[in-house]
Amino acid sequence: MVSSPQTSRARLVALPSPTLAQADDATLARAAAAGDPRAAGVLWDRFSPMVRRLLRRTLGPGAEVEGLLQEVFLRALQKLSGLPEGAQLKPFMIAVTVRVLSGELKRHRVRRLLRLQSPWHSADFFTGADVTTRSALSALYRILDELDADARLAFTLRHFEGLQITELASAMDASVTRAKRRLARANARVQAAVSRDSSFSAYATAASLGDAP
Amino acid sequence: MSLGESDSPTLADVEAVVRENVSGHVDGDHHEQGKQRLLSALQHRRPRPSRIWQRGVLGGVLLALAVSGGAYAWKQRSGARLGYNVTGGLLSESGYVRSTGPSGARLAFSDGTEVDLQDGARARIAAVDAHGARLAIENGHAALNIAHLPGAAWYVDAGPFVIQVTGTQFDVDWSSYDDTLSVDLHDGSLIVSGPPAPAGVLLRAGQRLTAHEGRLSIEALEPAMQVAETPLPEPPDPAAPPLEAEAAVPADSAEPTVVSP
Repeated sequence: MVSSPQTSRARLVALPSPTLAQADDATLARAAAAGDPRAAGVLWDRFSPMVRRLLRRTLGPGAEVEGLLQEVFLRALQKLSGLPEGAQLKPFMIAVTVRVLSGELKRHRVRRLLRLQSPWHSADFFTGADVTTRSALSALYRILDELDADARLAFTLRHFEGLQITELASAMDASVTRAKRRLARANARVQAAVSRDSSFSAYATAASLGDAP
Repeated sequence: MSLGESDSPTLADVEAVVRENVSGHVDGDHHEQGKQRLLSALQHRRPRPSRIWQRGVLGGVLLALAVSGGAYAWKQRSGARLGYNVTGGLLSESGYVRSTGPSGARLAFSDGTEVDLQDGARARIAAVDAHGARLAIENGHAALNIAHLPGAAWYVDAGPFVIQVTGTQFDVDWSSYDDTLSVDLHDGSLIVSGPPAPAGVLLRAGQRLTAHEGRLSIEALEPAMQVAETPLPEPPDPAAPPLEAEAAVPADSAEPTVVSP
């Protein structure tokens, strides 16, 4: 706030906080909703690693996620003005990401049915790991491809992101009971499939012997 | 990393392989490029209409559809009565029409229907609504050309007979002097009912119906044949559907035929 005692017609002007990057979620949300040009950048710095990670872990490390990442942030910035006072930004960003992912997974499923899917899950697309790990990841995401979008998202959020069941339900806009049911369905199918998969068994054996990174 | 007792992979292995190998980290340049792309998209994004405005527009469209649908339904149900005018004749306040010249009178309705009354013929407009009218031929010859429109409903009374029309072209001749009805149907179909056929007789294009003294016969219009005077059987059940004259009398038949139930 700035006041000018030298002029007879002083004005009070609200200035954005010079430390928006350090501001709490509520302040950042208010700034974004008010159109503060710095808010989008701060939001990106704060949440893009988490959102990108969630996108990659859900779709697979070989998936092209930068376009989806942009979509998540554009949607989030549109919806921020409707965020209740005091709401946390992290669950909000996860919920927006889940919505974008849900649409993408459904499109991906259709592309698979039409045999138009991109080769996301080829081991060649996974870099930075040994061959055994790349094969295991490739096998895992082929297994996840067999789940419907809701079950896959429930599995990802619980096992890869560590969300509690209530957080998971909130992110998926579902009741706790329904979220539990989706997760149980996904757990059973993934467990059964990885048990039968030779690539994943090889990875698990190597890891138990300390050969995997 | 853990293995179950049977050395088969567990969900903990699944969690571990992903958490250890799939992250959201990118280098600084990549991160900045993404941010600039977002900021650029925000700058060039067209302002979206507010939700309230969108709802207002949607509500307006729905309201307009509802109003127009309601108006259409109301028009269909109750619509404005057909208009009509008379040329070559006189029209009384009670709807009585009489020709005043040798060329007869023409009754023209707003839906395109035309009724030509021959010189000396008399008719009455008994009722008019949005879908048609009820005309009574008091005496003489009338040529009718009924507009074939959806929902059209026209009736022509001739003495004790009623002709139900949906869209067609026909001539009616009713003689109140000797109670003789003649209907020549040129196009479409119609149902004629009266004392000889309470349930009605279905007449098709190219047929002539003649009723006189409790006898009713149907014959082909071309070539014109003399009407046979054959007694009708017992009248059919009034609740029964109209008789199919076509079944008894092919349109190209030259033989006069009596309709039987």
